[in-house]
Amino acid sequence: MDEATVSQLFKSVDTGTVVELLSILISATLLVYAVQRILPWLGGFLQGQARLTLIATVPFIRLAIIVSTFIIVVPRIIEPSVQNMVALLGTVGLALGFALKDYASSLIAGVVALGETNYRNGDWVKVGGIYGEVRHVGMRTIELITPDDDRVLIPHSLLWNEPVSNSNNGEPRLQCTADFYLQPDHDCDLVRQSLEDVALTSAYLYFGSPVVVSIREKPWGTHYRLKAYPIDSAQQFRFVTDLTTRGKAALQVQGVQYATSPFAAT
Amino acid sequence: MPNSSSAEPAAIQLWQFVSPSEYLVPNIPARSAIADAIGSIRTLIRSRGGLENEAPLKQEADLLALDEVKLAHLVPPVAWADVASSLDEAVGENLKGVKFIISQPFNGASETLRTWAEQHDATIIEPPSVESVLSGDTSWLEQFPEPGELWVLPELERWYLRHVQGLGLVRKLLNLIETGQLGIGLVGVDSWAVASIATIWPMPHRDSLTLQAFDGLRLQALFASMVAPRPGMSLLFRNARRGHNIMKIPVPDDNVHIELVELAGYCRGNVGTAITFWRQRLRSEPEAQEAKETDDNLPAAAEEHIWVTDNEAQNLPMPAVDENMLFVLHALLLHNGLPEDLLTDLLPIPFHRYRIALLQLRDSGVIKEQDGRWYVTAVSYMAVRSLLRSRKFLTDNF
Repeated sequence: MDEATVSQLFKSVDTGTVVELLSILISATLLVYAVQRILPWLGGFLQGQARLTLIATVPFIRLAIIVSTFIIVVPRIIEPSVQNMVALLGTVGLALGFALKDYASSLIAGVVALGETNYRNGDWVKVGGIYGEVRHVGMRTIELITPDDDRVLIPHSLLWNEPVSNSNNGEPRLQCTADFYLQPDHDCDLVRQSLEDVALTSAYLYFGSPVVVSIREKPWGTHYRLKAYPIDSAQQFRFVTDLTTRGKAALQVQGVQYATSPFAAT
Repeated sequence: MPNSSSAEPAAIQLWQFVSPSEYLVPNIPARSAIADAIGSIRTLIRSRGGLENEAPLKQEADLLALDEVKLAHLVPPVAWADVASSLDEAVGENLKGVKFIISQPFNGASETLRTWAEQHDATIIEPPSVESVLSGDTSWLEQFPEPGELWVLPELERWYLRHVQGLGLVRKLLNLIETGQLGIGLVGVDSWAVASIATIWPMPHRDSLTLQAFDGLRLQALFASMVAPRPGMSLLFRNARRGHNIMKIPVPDDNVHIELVELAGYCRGNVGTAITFWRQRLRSEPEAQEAKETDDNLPAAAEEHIWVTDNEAQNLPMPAVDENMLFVLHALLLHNGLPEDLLTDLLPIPFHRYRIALLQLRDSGVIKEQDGRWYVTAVSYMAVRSLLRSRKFLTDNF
């Protein structure tokens, strides 16, 4: 592409245009920053589904601002003819594609993830073996806060090859499980009833979802899984702690023995 | 529960017992609903909502709270014998099996049932001790008389605890009731306890009764029936802020002022909380009270004015509550009051945390201690219920 052709692609940029472009870019940056701060702050005043819906809109609004900025800026720099747009964008795209293919892959995966709503702000997900709450869906990564309060950034490109496990999928509640491993010699019906009562008497329990006790017999004994839903997903760990603590107390009263043989967790 | 939409017929039966499915939650007038929404937004900005720009007719600071004697004259305690008589009509002469009387908090269920039991020489079944509930001690069931003899169990909510060991006794009791082994009787149960017990045992609803909601018209009739002005005199209840008449006694017609309709709507038909709010809002002018105190020989005015302030509870925001406070409030409502030492067994939070929550709620006037038990106060009940419902806690069906 010779110099004459290149000069035909671009408009003449004077001081006024530069100021205009800078204003647009700064405004867009500030707007994105404000949206990423204000909406989660407002979400702090809400509860349950309303909060999750509000904070889930942040990446969509950010994407809309970026696309709008691009649409506003480009005609101010480039002579908006089809030939020019194709020539310039094709060249730039080719160069960037090779240099930043992984970055581009994550960007595109991020857009796909938004469209498919694989995860959203407030979801509890497991990606690449890491479980945590989605705090921020960025253009290239998602930010998870793990139960150990670690901040983990996971590229969207993992989506192409890794399964994504979403525990609540935009809902304010998720299922929690408390496990109990018992010696085989006991009354299953009594234990099952006790564990159900443990869940039904929990202060955290959400009564709109079912309480289930599943039982699996293992070579070393009996594995009980008490499954129930807390009122809010943020309570999941306290809920499981409560179920486990009171479950153990209830089973002690019945004289049930816990399995002690070493075994692999399943 | 369906909503009521029109005034009652002219002959108003104050105390009416109906099936729970026939309970009519009074409508909140649109004006009141919008005002509540605006008040809520204002409370986010300022610490106190519901302030208006216009100067009030009477400054609340200039009005005197009524003394207990005057209050007892204007809003005396409910005559439970009247309520028991209405219950008697609803139960009918030939009681077969067991009937459940479901009551919202502050509606005097225990008093009504005990009065009814006295009227019918029925055996009153007292609640077991906490230790008996937790141990499932069935010796308390020996209180029940021989089959064929009438009994009344006024407080089923005292027969269970939200604890793994606190469910066995109430299950046994309800099983005996369902299988007809306990003969004929009445069981009184708080509406929140019904919701809670129904999660661990199918609560029978087909043989249930509850006090019908008090809408504006019925509230007016109740307040009017409580007062007996001297012959030739009338009482005029006026709004202190705007001066308009709310109610005149004797009541001239069936028209009811929107303020009473709003009160009934805010309380969702709960007569106990409505009476509490009404008592709290009554004021008199210092001159009127002084004149009476200084010279009883002065001829009585033909019309006495009683000033009614705005319903503060509807305008005041709830204090900021955290998760621990919500747990405390929920436990208190599910059990219709609890002694403090039981909270250790029923809550998943340590002693020092729920103790702080108790004290903060007490200082805010949301709960109070009475006879060794903590209760949600009547003036806070509706706000607490609304808060728990919004946070998806289990609530009653009223």
